Amino acid sequence: MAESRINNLKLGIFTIAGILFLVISLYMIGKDQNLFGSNILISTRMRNAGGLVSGNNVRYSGIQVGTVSEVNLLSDTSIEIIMLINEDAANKILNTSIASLGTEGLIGNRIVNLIAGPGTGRPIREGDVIMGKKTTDTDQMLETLSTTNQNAAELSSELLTAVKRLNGSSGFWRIIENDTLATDLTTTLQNIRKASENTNMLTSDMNGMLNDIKSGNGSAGKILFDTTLATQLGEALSKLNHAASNAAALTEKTDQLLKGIKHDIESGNGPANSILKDSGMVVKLHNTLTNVENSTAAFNDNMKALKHNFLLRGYFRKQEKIKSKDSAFGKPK
Amino acid sequence: MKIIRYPTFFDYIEVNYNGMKLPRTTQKFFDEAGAISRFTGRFFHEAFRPRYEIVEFINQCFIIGYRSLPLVGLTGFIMGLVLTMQLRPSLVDYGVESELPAMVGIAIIREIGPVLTALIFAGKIGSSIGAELGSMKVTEQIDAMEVSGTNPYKYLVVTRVLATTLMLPLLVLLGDAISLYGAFMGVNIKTNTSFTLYYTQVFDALAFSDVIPAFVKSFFFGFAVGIIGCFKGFNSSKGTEGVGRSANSAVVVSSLMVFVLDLLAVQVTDLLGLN
Amino acid sequence: MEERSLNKTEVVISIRKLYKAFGTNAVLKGFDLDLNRAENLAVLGKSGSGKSVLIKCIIGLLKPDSGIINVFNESIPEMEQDELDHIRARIGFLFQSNALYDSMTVRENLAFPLRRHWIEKSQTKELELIEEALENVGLAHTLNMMPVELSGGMRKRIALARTLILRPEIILYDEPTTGLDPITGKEISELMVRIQEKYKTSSIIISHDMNCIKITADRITLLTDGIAYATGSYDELKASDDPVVKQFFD
Repeated sequence: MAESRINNLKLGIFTIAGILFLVISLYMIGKDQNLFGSNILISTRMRNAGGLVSGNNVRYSGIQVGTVSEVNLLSDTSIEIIMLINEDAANKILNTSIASLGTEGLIGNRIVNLIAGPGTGRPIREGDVIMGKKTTDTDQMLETLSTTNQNAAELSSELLTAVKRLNGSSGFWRIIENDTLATDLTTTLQNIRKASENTNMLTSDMNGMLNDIKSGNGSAGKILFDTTLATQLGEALSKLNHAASNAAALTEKTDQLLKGIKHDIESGNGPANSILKDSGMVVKLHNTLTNVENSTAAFNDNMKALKHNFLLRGYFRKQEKIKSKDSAFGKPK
Repeated sequence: MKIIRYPTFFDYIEVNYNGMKLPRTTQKFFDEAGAISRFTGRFFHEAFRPRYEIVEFINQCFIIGYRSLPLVGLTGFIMGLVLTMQLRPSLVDYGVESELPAMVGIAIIREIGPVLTALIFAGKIGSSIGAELGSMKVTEQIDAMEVSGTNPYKYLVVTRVLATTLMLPLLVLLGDAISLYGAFMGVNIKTNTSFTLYYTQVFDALAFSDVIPAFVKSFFFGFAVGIIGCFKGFNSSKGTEGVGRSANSAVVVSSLMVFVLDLLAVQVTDLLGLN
Repeated sequence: MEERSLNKTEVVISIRKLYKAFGTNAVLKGFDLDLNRAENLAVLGKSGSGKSVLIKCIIGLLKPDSGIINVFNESIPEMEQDELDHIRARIGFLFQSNALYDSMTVRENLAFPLRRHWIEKSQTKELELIEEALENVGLAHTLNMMPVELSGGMRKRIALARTLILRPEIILYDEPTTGLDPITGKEISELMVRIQEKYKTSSIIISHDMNCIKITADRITLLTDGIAYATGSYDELKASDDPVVKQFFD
């Protein structure tokens, strides 16, 4: 009889231990799913549930505060996510909080992240609808990355075209390397001065000649009496007069051209000026180049991140292998 | 000696369609399946009617449950440890070594715990029930019981089957607990994880849909082991050879049944959407 | 108990036209038998002649195909389970293989029928009964031993003690001396006679051991080919000229 009492005791301990383990494990799991203790229900709306299912965790600033209770399709573009938030945490979460989707780790379960929103509000209550924010998931990240990529490619090709065109345009560079232009202008002005000097000398020579004729000395007297000669002389004189007036007009025009160029340069119009004087343009060009550099660096980072992403790691490894094989054989890539 | 030969389906076939005969082994298989079904039916018929053999039931619970714990605990511990050590390299390859506790926990709770415990249990308890009832049958102890105003089916079969049905889930639970501790040791061989972090990770990874189906199916495992052990013992043929054979086939058939039930369980849980 | 010895001609077991077959093998083919009160009746037959089947039909372990089995004027085959249990408490059965419960001590073995038949006894009263039963078979010291620790003869005695503990009015002996050496067999046979005298029980003794039958039987029925071939006292049958009867006594 004593033995059977001990046996009963042992059996009792055995049974209780087993049931205790069951209860503890159920409680531990239930605690994670907020089945025990009081909870409140809040909801949020999003365009994309991203694979969220009921039972997924809800975190506020990285702390477990509840679970997803339901995910409903409200309309073609709106999804309602109802969350169970445990009451203790609910007292500290404000209704201005913003919900977003995330994952536990890189490839873990989906979670709802709550973060404090801007401004002040009151603690959330049963039935509150808080704001939902679209967040990047891996898909979106890759999509954005590809857009960035495309943009960078476009930008660089445009830049390439611009530079090529600049290189190919002779006029532009002639204007830029302005030595010849200046010399040409100087020569023109010198020539004009010489021409006017010559005209002066010619005029004084004419004066002497006319004096000789008045005095009747030399052949000039003869000329005065010879009518044909007088007519020819008149024509020559009118031609000379015309030439002089032409010279004056030319001088004026040259003057105007020079003035025009000077004005252009000073007022900052025209392509030549842009290139020669506009410091803004230089800064812009510089910025563009920096941007290209930055985006290239960022792209490099993205590519590195992608390389470390286990999903794509295999591909990159393969690429590397091919590359190393190629280089081993000395082939160009 | 009570020899009752129930007419089987094939008796009718032979009568009505003479000439159409199945191979002997096939016929034997279906015969036995039918007999086990009938035996099981008798269990439900007798188990819930008085008189209830409570003292013997508790005694059997002690023998079947408590006395099996050391064996179940030891195998569970080793299995948890080994499983962890075997899983680690592949997880390291994928860079998710930190998921080791979660993975081992799910493997133990969902599958390894119930099935391994049930198999060990079938080996230990199935054979002992088969041999015990077989030798009782051969030495007329079962008849003696009947003559002593005791329904031997109630006294021997119902108590044992109820004990296996209720004790195996308990053993599975305790085996799981010990197995998880073994896995914790396994995790700590290469890394340094605190017990708190370990069990947080394990229970974070677990859901009710992992624990409940595994727990429920262990009742069925226990029932199968008990009913088959009792059936084989109760229908043991004469002589010591018959006892040995019934012990042996009790283990073989109940182990097989554990796997068949496991297959059914996974499909049922899948249908219920609990996976 | 006093009452029992009074009417020596009262029939406690009456069997008429008993048929029992296993599949196509007919074992009993119209067997008749009457057991009077306080009488030792031996059923003699070859192995496999259906002797064991006969007493298992009497106790209700087997259901006969047809025929009448009346015990205390009640029909055994038509009984419900609880009626059967009730009448079984009045019938002792000594199994050929003793059928001691291996997992229990001698004391628990003896207590088992007491408890199972809902005989309300206090612990001390129960122990008294057990000790008395053990003293009757001369094995009081084995109280807390396990059956495996006992010799064949001792086990037979314990089995007998267990049968006797309920003070049965009828005892069915299934080959009580089989597997024992002749000396032990003789001891058991003498014990059976002493018990019969002490408790005035009626007994059916199934045996093919002539020594045992000679000591114990008041009357002998010869079971051959499924029928009661001949009935009479030991001396009557021994004197018979019938070749079938003669072969048992040679």
